[in-house]
Amino acid sequence: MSTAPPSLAQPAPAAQTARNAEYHGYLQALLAGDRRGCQDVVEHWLAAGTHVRVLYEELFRRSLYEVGTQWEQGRVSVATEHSATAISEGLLNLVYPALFNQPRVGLAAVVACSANEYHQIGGKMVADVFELHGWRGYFLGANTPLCDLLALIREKQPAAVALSLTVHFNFDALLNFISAIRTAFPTVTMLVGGQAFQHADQQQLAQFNDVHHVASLTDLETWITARTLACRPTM
Amino acid sequence: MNTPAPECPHALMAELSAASCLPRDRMRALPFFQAAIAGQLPLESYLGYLRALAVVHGALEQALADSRHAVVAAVWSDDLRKLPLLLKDVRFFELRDVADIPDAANAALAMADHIRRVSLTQPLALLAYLYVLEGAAMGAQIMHPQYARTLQLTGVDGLAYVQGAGSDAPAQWLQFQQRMAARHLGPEDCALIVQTVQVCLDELIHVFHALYPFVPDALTCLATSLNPEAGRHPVPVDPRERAAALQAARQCWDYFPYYEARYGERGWRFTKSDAAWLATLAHTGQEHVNHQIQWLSRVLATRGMPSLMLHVQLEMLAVALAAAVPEHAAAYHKLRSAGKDLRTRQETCIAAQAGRRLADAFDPAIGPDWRARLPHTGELLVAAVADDATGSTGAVESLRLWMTDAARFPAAWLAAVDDTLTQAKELAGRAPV
Repeated sequence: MSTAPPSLAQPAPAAQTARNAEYHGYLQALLAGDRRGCQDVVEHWLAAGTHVRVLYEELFRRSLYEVGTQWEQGRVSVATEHSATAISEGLLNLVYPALFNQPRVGLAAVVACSANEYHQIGGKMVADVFELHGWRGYFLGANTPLCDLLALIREKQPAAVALSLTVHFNFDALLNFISAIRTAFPTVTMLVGGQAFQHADQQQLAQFNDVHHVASLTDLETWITARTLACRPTM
Repeated sequence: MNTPAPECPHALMAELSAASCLPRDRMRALPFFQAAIAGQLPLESYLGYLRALAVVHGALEQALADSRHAVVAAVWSDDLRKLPLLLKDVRFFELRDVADIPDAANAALAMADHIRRVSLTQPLALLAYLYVLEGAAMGAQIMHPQYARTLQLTGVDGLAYVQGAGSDAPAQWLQFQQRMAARHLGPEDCALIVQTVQVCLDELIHVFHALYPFVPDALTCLATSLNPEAGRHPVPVDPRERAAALQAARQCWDYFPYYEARYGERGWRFTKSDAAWLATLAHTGQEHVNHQIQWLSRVLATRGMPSLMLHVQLEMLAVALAAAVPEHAAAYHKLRSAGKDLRTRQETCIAAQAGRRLADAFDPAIGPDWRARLPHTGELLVAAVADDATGSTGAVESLRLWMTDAARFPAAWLAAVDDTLTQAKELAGRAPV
């Protein structure tokens, strides 16, 4: 028997097929700019007890990657891509009641996008996953000025700083952020992730101490769980 | 607070006028306009204003022209376009190499993003943007003498947008208002337009707020200066690299007259901004360069530009950059390597010699006149087939649709295109898996 909660367990084939069909319905609604249609699917998944991380990975992330691919292939316009992002961001709010009901564990994370990074939905999802695990997830939004980020870290004293990067050409800006944070806060753990890391040279992260690449929300959950356990008082 | 819905249709214009009155007063009180009136507006702010409006108009005019909403289509008319005037002004200042004000550009880009979203979700709201920007253009005319005096501009040089329709402007504005008022809209539609007018004015105020005063240390060079629709990608900071990139863009544009024939002025703007972005890649690792160039080649191929065009551009770019900045010649070589990778990838599908023979056979079939008009077409057709077969799905169709338009080309051309594509597909089909 699986030890995972029911909503995280691998669904039965029939359920998987139904979920896949719903995903395609969601994608069509997203491409058509039909917010209501998208909302119906999200609400249905939530009502069925789907885990938030599964919702993020299998509905939001998957559909946005697909929209990106279709733009790349010239099948949808820039307007459609922008609309899809805006709808998805709006729908994240539906998940909030589930997020903020979690028992607090007394840990905090600051989540930000680096300078010139305007894709913020990934960072938002990361902050939500921290909340889901009882952490406080402070999210600063797109194009975060470095001074604002440093000020918030100083104020909140987080156990982790997570930096999201979608567009690879902002990689140098990310490295500058990491360097500045490390100088100001020598012991804070840093997590980095996002679509840009599919093609980034991760060796460049090795020059920094305690900076970790997190490849997926699943990996993030694993890291959060381990850190939460490590921070508990010993029995 | 919800704005009460006006009684449509004729009350709409009065409601729009009332809704925009206070924000317009706020706008006029901004330091930007005060500095212009006082004759103290710096060129960076004035040019930043034109560049920001070009970003906004670029998005809006594209969205209006593409809109299938009946009311939007009935109000929009090509003679309302302001982008050509703005681009003319921006071009006038090109040689002065004036830096950008990033906050203003970002505010304009955010406004453009909003317009694109609205075009899909609430297309009628595009009329609110049009209404505000038409009004802004009228307002700009009032400021024309101040701009001209402050920046010592004469005639239409750098003043095309603020000069606008000149003495015909009031009549044009009236016509536009009549077109708006003639639509029979329900109260909800009217309310949407009124509310969006307020949003648009706030966004515009944000742009002007950023334009003056600005932080001199923050000035930089942005892609939107080369192409208002380019978005937020990086461009070289070194002016020598920027100039070399533009030089290579021009060479490539001239080498393939197909660019201009198909994509026109808008295509030229994207060729410039793409070339500038490609130049920035040279300062990253080879693997990253290859990946980015493969990505761009797919994007372009599915929009009718086979990877051969990018390959040629990369060759020209590497040469131009190395000549302009010899100390970075090794870095620029990465672009050439990435271009060669594209070519090698193609040749795994259609061997170089066989592809060349097929491409060369195209020209005699179409005759010297068409050959002179659109040289390299045979090569493009063969390249598109190879692109399609190596993952750029849709590359052939995108090219074929334009190349087989009977209204554009004679029968001999159409037959030669079909024949070349058929043979190229046969060659690709024989390629080892």
